[in-house]
Formats: sequence, C-alpha cells, structure tokens
Amino acid sequence: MSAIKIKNISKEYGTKNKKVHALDNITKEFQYGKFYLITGHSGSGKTTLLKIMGLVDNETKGEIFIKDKDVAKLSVKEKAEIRNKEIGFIFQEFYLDKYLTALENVTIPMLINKKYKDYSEIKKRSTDLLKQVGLESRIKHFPKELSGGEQERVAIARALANNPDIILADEPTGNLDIANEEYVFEYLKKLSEEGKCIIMVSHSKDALKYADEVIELKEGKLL
Amino acid sequence: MIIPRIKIVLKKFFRNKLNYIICLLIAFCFSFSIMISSLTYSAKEYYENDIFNFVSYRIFSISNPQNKESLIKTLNNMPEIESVFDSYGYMSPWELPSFYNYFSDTKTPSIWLLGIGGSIDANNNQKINLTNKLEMVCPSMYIPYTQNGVPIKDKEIDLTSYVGKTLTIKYIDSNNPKEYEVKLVGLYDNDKIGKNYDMCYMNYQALEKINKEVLNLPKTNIYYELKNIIYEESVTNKLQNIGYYPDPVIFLNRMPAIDSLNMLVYISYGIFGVVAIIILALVYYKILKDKENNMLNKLLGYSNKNSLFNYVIDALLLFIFSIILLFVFVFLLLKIFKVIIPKYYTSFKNIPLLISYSSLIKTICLIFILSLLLNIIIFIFGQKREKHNV
Repeated sequence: MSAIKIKNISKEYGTKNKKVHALDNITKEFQYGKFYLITGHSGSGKTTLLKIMGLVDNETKGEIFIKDKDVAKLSVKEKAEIRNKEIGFIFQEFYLDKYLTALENVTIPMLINKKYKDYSEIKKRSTDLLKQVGLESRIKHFPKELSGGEQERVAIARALANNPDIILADEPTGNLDIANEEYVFEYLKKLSEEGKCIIMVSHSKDALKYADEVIELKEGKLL
Repeated sequence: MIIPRIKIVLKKFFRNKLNYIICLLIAFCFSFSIMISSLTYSAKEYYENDIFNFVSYRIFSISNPQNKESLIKTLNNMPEIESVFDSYGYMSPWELPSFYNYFSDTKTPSIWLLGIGGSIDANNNQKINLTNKLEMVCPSMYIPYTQNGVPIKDKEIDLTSYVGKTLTIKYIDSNNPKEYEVKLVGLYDNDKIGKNYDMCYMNYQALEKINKEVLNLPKTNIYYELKNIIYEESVTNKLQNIGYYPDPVIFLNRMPAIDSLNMLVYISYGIFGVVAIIILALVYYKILKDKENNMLNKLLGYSNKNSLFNYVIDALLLFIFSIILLFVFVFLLLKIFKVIIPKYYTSFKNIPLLISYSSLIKTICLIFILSLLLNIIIFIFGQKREKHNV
C-alpha cells in the first residue's frame, strides 16, 4: 500500500482567458519509509503539489489516493479527519499559535482526535514529543520566547502529535541556521527510517544527501 | 474532549490583549448608553409621578359650558376624576399682611390661593386632605411677589416655623379690605411648581366661600381634578368627543425638562458611533491576525464545525467578560452621575437615579448578539482570506 498516489494531477489558476498551469499532468506514488525531496525553481508548483497532497487545496484534474482511499469520494469532514490523523504539516513560518505555550501548541491536533479520552494522556504525549525534539526545558514557553530553531521543533512535535504516517514539510528550514537545518533534516530522516513517508519541499542543497528520492518540478511538470 | 478545548480557547482569549480592548470598548459605550437611558427614564418617572402629578397640574377648567348640569354629571361619572367644582374665583391673589413688616420698602407681599378638591403632596411624603375650614398648604420657601407680579428678590421666607400657626390674608382689591385668618397646615416642595413660589392651596369649598364674600362674579367655569396626571389624555379625548375643550389651570410645559437631556443622548450616540468604528477596525485587525489561525486549524484537521465551536466559545467569553465590565462601568458611572448631575443639571437634583432594567436587559441581549456576530464575521472572513492564502 502506498502512502500517497497521485494520478494525472493538474492545477490551473486564473480566469478562462488567462490561465496559469501550476501543475500539469503529474503522476507519482509515494511509499512509506522513504524521504522524498521536491525541488524546483520558485513558481514551479512545489507548494501547490504539497497542498493538494495535504488536502488543503483541490486539484483541477486527476486523482489522489491516500492510503489507497480515493480522496474524491471523501466528504469534507472525512478529509479533515485525514488531515488530523494521517498527515502532519511542517512549514517555514512555523505557524504556531502565539497565545499558547509550546506544550499547548502540540496538544491542539490531539484535542479533536477521539482516540484520546483523557487530557492527561494528551499532555503526556505532548511532553514526550517535546522531549524527543530536545525542548523539555521549554514546554511552558510561548513562541515569542523561543528561537527560530526551537519554534520549528515545536512545529515538528505538533506535526507528530497524532502519530501520522505522512509528513508534508514545506521549506521547513527556510528560516533556520545551518545547525538547526541539519537537526531538522536528520530528524525527518530518522522518521522516514521509522517507516513514515516524508515529503519535503526544499531549496537547500544539503537536503539532497538525506533524500531517498528527489523529485524535480519545472513549470508544473515532473522532470 | 470538550473541556480541554474550552480551556484552550479560554487561555487564548485571556492572553490576547485585543480582546480586553474590545470588551472594554463594548462595556464602556454600552454602560454610557445605559446610564443615559436610565437618567432619561428616571427623569421621566420623576416628572410623571412626582412633579407632573402635583395637584396644580391635575386641575383643568372648561369655560362657559353649554349644559353645565349635564357636564357635571358626565365628569362625576368618570372614574379618572377626583373631584368636580362649579366654582368662581377658583384662583385668586391675596396680600399677606402677616409679612408687611418683613420688608423695609413699601412693596406688598402676596400669594395666590388655589382651590383643590383632593389631597396635596406635602413635604415628608405627607398627603394632606384639606378640609372646608380656613386652612392652607404653602411652599416651604416662599418668595414674595409684588402686586404687579414682580418677585421680590433676596426675600425668600422659610415658612417651616409658621406651620400650625395662622397667617392673615387680605384680598388684593383695596376696595374690599376684608381679612381672614388661615391656618398653615403644611408645606410643599417649591420645585414641584416651577418658579411659582407664591402658590398656596386651600380646599375649593373654603376658597369659594371667602371668594364669594370679596368677589361677586358669576360662575362661568367648571373645574375638575384628575386622580392622576396619566389620565390627562384619555379624559381630554373623552371630553373633546362630546364637544368640550378643557384647559389646564396651570400650563405645564413638560418637554424642556426632558429635552435638556437630549444633549446627553446625542453625546451617547456620538460615543457609540466612534466606539463602533474603533471596534470594527479592531475586528478587521483581528480578522487579519486570525487568518493564520484559521489556516492552521484547517491544516491540523479542524473541520468548520470544530472551528466554529472555538469561535462560539470565544463569543461567549467576549459576552461574559463585557457584561462583567459593563456592570463595573455602570456602577462607577452611577457614582459619577450622582455627583455630576445635580451640579450641572440643577433641575434634576432631586431625581433618584434609577437603573432602567429594561434598557439593561436589552443591552445584555444586544451585547450577546454583537459578540456572536463579531466572532461569526471573524470566522467567515477568516475563512475567505484563508482560501486566498493557503
């Protein structure tokens, strides 16, 4: 079973007269236990592809299967459930809630997961995740009290909150220094070795050495 | 997992200073409008129940009625009417020889005697029923007027010490110099009859008797006294339907008293408008700030229902917090108004400032709707913006 399978995916933006082809007829299968790196110039469609695979944007044409489930047949609620349980997102801008502590930020995806019956269970898992990313001493800190690298680690811990099998990372190291970049790549690599499917968009050349497969996009097409 | 979710929304709410500002603004502008409507309400209550209901304003006359007997019968059958008098010299001017020596100059102090049928609201919440003997109720602070109706300034006489004693009155007409000894049985608050500080009240039968001796006028008018001023319009309408047009014995211009509050009402509208614009600006700012939050919620798997739940909880917090602040502001403004109003609005110095509960309940409902609406707007616009940004 593949983690994500996309078939003939196309995405167009704009009006009838002025169309922009962000993605053009892309077919690809993503497996568990592998680290995929998507590269390409700005505007090549990397982020659009990631959003479509993450079910936050809709394709114009084509099919998507997540864990062999045809996404087109899923309701809005079911798609939201997949985003919550099966996919973890990591971003360049971290997108942490500035009014919540590191620990509280990590708990957010778990609060709507019916798997958890007790808040203490959620709290314990959040603490464990923050420990795993080396932030045990920062759990009560707010995002503004954390460095960029630390915020990215909180975002990683949050992405792993519901133990998803797929991690989608969009330029996760874009705002980080070399040491923190290395930490993030290594951590994602470790996760792929544990059996998760990691799909990362990055411009970093250092990312190449961690990737199992590099996917290059040019003007919305796979090279 | 409802409680932890509510706790998270609660923490976010109280850690966001913007919410405090919005709550403070909502509470301030609504508390101010509550106070203005309470003041208007109190003033209206005070004027309707206390000032306007004073006996002088409850007496009406019908001049030269065509069928006197039939009119008297009709009036006597109306439950809203306290008493009916077919009288002449109902209100007449009298000199006060008792106070002749009070003035060093040659000016002669006088009073107007007004006949009444029912009771009079005297000081200390007393209701005095005047009998048909020679007794009267006068203002606490008597300001004498000359015979020409010019007030003798700086000559205010406190009549408190004269209660229970008799005062000599003499009809103004010098050709008939008959004097009467009238017992002062009580006093009333001057403010109740505007600037007429020389009006005393006597039972209409007693007044008619002495008027008859000093005046010899034909009985031309019918007077009636309402039980309460609230019946004025209904009784007037009934009489007009049968062709009679009553006039008040003492004309009461009610509007200036209430109208003087209009300035405050306009100020409250102004504050409301300015605050509404500020709140809208803050809400727009919050929409921009929440755009990330909306996107994040969606990425983390929150359905629209889940996100809306958070916004509804947020709205409830906004409502509860605003209401708490509203009560604090109302309490403080009540204290401030009680100091300021008597200073700058002397005509309202005796008004017991009452909170208008109907306005309070309406405001609470309005804040509830506003809180929900603000959060729904933030939710909807946040969703729209998010589509462009994701």
